[in-house]
This record gives sequence, structure tokens and C-alpha cells, in this order.
Amino acid sequence: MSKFKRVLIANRGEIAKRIYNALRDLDITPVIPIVEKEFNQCFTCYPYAKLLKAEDGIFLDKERLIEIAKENECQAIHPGYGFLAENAEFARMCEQNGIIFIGPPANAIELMGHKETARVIAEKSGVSPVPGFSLKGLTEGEILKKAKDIGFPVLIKASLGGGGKGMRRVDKEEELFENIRIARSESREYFASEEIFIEKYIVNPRHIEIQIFSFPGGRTVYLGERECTIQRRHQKIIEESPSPIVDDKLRKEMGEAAVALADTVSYVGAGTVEFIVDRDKNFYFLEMNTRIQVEHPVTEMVYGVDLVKWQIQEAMGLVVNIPQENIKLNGHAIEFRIYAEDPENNFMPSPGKILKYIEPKIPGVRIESAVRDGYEIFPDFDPMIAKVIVFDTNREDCIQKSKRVLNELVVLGVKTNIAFLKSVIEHPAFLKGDIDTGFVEKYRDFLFEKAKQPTLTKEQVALIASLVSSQKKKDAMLDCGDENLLPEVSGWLP
Amino acid sequence: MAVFIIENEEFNVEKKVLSENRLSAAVNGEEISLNVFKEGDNFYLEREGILIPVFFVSDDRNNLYLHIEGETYLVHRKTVEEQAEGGSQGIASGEIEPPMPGKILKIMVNEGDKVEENQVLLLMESMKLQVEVKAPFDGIVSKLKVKEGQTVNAGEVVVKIEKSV
Repeated sequence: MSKFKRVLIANRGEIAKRIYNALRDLDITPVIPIVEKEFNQCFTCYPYAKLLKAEDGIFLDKERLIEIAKENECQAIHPGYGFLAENAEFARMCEQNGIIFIGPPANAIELMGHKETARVIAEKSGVSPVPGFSLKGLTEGEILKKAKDIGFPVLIKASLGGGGKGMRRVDKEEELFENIRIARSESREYFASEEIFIEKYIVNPRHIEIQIFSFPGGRTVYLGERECTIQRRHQKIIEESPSPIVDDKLRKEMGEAAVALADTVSYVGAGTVEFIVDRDKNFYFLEMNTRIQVEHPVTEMVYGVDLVKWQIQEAMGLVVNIPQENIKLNGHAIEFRIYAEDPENNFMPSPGKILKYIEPKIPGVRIESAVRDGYEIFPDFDPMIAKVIVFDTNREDCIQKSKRVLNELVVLGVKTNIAFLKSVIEHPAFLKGDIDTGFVEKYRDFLFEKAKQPTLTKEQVALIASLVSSQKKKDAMLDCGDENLLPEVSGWLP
Repeated sequence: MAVFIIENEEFNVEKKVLSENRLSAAVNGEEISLNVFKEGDNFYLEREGILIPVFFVSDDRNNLYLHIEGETYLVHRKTVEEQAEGGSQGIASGEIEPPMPGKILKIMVNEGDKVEENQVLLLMESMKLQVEVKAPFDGIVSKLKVKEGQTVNAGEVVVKIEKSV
């Protein structure tokens, strides 16, 4: 094992902070590029790290990242999630330049990154994917016949897609070819490829994923599941572990399926196998994410592990030897993604400056965030403010405690989804664990009604406003003009 | 008097009194009160002996953001200019408050003076901006509570005008 001295973090926001923490725990110096416009609001957030002023677009600039890593004597690069985390070419470039890419081998990224190939591999490993077929080489007649065999509704997907982009649901056969045309053009636009495929649209499924970790030498363990069913605009907003519907037997079945899949591609490191689960608890392979995921902390809380630290240790050649039987589920964890967005306006991002940000200090609550007072959420970055992870002994207590936590989290200055998240966990169906991916749509009325039931009358608020607005002008000015308070930094950083 | 806008509704707060820990005022003419508690820079509401923290911050556009018991509120405080534009000159009480905290630069009237609607009563400086405080209606200056050079808080009554009959 050769210990890393410096590791480049090729990411920003909360995940950069998360990786920074793991590196600091291991006594490795983090090297973090920060784009110019974020520099002032970030540079004191990372003490003991080497910070670099970087150009816009740095996190997608493969050559430049490798250059920076070399210039700063980094032995490895951690890509986080998004950006280049699942880019096989980048993983290869790192290798060619003698830099360790903290992630699986390029080959595994490539195989799993291609949705159709991944489906074939899943089948080979004995894990059934959602019934479907590739459009490659088929005539219109053949496509229609196969689609009818699966049965409508069907889902058209971009082979290289992700994050809900390039996905189209088709309910009737008359609408099939029009949607194929649109899906092709979307796929070309987002993923530079016209390859698409069709699969059965499973109505109101659950979205459950298995966390795996493969140690060098071909041994893979699974760390239970994450229930990621509560979504808006095809993106997860609440994740929990364990899932309210997964029992020991199903966990073992899904876990072993995920492990078989990982072993087929000689996987290394942290990965996630996503499944669609129908009403009868049949599970179908959806895709594999070859990176650390946004929602990894819920698994860490209930299994008492540090996945990012494992990733780094594994990359250093350290053998983390934990047998499957030692991986024990303990308690319940729920993650809430706090976004600067406007739920009432179709969850559109609502960028701006966060004037006040206070994290509640409550035992068993973990908050992952890079935000602080005066932090600006820029329109061209992900509008995530924080991830709030709540841990307790069981689901019921965990939900109860989550209400307190969400009530005590203070984010002022931008619109957020906090009130909306609170109404989700107050819905009787959520409490029962009776959820599917259509939850937000189905209970729209309840969720939005619940989100606006203030305890104070507007008159009382006006009265309070008249008191505090006359007394807090000085502080308010501090909060709004904080750039001026930052010291000159040009002297000591490149 | 101060005018606040909450979700497009206007609220006139006048006759504000803070005595002991009791805050009361007429909001749109209706008397309401709350128990408040202040410790350093922290504010609390007090309800049946229970303290409820009030988190707040303002931006540079006269917006005040509040977080109370897990609810957030956005309150816009109307400036004198906005109040004048809106033509809200019928302020019944005649209790005049500055739109924001600042320094009294010049006082143009004396107690007992007859004033006309929109006549400038005093000139103040706030955040490097000169603001004229005008009479809301014809009347007589019944009370002048400030001196030139004095610093005042927003919400503090500086002049009282008795309406002419």
C-alpha cells in the first residue's frame, strides 16, 4: 500500500465537502479547484486544503484536471458524482497519466454506462431487466410488433441517458413513432447518440437500489437497499434505508443479484444497482451507477460505514476486509434533499443568495452541505443547498424526528422545498410506506395544501416585522454585503 | 406608521408600543399584541411561557425574511417612495415614522405649525440616501419628537400631525 499525500477533488458543493472530510480523516491533503465566481464564498470552507482558482467548466475539462493534478502532485482524483464520475475515457486518461482514478475500472464504467449493454450483462448474470428491446436494425413493423408484445404503456429511453433526460412514456401505439423521433433527437442533443431502446413501462413502481462494494480480488458485499421512490421531475428527493417493504428475504435476493452483476464486470469499489419493484415485489434491473451516489449517507448511517473513505482506502491498495455476515443493519435513516426551488412553480430552481443558514444541532442528524450565510446558488449549477440525514432506531421514530429537524433548519433568502418535504412525510401513505414513483403527482392537492398552513396570522407577522425590521438594519447589511468583508486573497493563492 | 406587504396584502402597523415584554400595535386598525423576548441579537416570541425563536434577515431591497416555528415568511417593507406612489396618504393616526433607520438632517416645521398635505416635514439620511418625510394630509403639527442630528429607528414615531377638521 502506498499512502496518498494529495488527492484532487474534481467536484464542487456538498460532495466536494464530503470527499474533503474523508480525505482529512485519512490525513491526506485535498486539492480543490473552485471556479472563480464561487471562490469568495468557498475559500474559507476548506481549511488545510489546497485551493485553486479555476475556469468555468473545469469539472468537465479532462485534460485540464489531469494537468492540475500533475502540477499539484496529486496521486489520485476523486470525481464525486455527476460531471466526469462515470466517464470511462477520463478514467483511462488518469491511468495513462499515472494518476489513480478513485472509482471502478474504465471497462466496468463503459459496460454499465451503456444501458443496453448493461441489460445484456444483467441477463447473463441471472438478473432480469425490465422487458424491452433495442431499436437497432429493426424495421418499423418489427418495432411495433415487439412493442405490442411487451404491451403498452412502454418507455422509450436513450441508451446513454440518465437523470430522466431522453425518456418518453408512450401509452398508445399510434403515438409510438412520433415519440421515437423526438426521443432520438433528444438523445442526440443530450448524449450525442441516436441510440434508443424501448422497455415496458411499469405503472406506479417503486425505485429501490442496492449499495455494493467490491474489494480487490473479486469479493463483493452488499450493504442493503435504499428506497428512492419519492421523486419529483424524475429526481429523487427523499431516500431511506431500509425500505419499508424489503424484508430480510427480499434484501438477500436483491443483494445477491447486485453482487452477481458486479462480479460479472469485475467491479471494484462503490457501486449501486438500481431496481424497479412492482406491486408484487418482483424486481427488475434498471441500471448500475458506477460511482458514489448522492444518497449514500443513509446507507452509511444504518450500516455504520464510511463509503467514501473505503473508496479512497481501496484506491490506495488497502485491503478493507469485511465479510458479508459482519454487515449488519442497525436503525433507520432518511435523507432529505434540500433544494433552492419553487415547488409551486413545478419545482423550478430558484437561485439566489442564501442570507441566513442555520443547521440544527441534534444528535443523530447529519447534514452534508457547503452552504453558509451569504452563499449564492448560481443558476448554472445544481440548486442543492444541503442533504439532511436523520437517523433513529426505527422508521416511525425517524419520521417523527425528521419533522423536528426540518422545522429547525433555517434557510432564508431563497425559496426552498423544505415545507414541501414536511408535507410529504406527514402524508398517511408515506407513514404507512405505501408509496410509488407517482406519489408527488397523486397527492398533489394534499401536499400543497399542507405546505401552507402557517401558525401565525399575517397581522401577527406584520407586527413582528415592524419590530425586527427597525432593530436589525446593521446585521441585515452585514448579511447582504459580505463580499466586502472578505480579506484580499490574491496574495496567497494562484 | 409602517406598511408591510405579505403575499400581496398590505398591513399598516401603527401605534406600536413595546412595554415590558409586550409588543402591541394596531395592524390595519385592529389592536393586536404578542409577548416577545430579546436576548442579545436573538428574538423570541413567548407563548404560554414557551419561547419560540424568531430567525430573520433582510436584503437590500427592503425585504425581510422570517423563520418562525418551521414556517418562513417574506415581508416587504414599503419605503416612503413606494407609499407615495401607491397614493396611500390617508394615514388616519397622523403618527409619522421614518421608512428606515437614519439620522435627522433638517427639521422644517415646529410644533403648532399648520401643514399641508405632502409638505416636507423633515429631511433625513438613511444608508447614504436623503429621504423627505412628508405630511400625509392637511393638519397641525401636534408633536415633534426628534431633534436635528438625532438618530432614529424605523418604526419610531418622529412627528404627529393632528388632522384639520
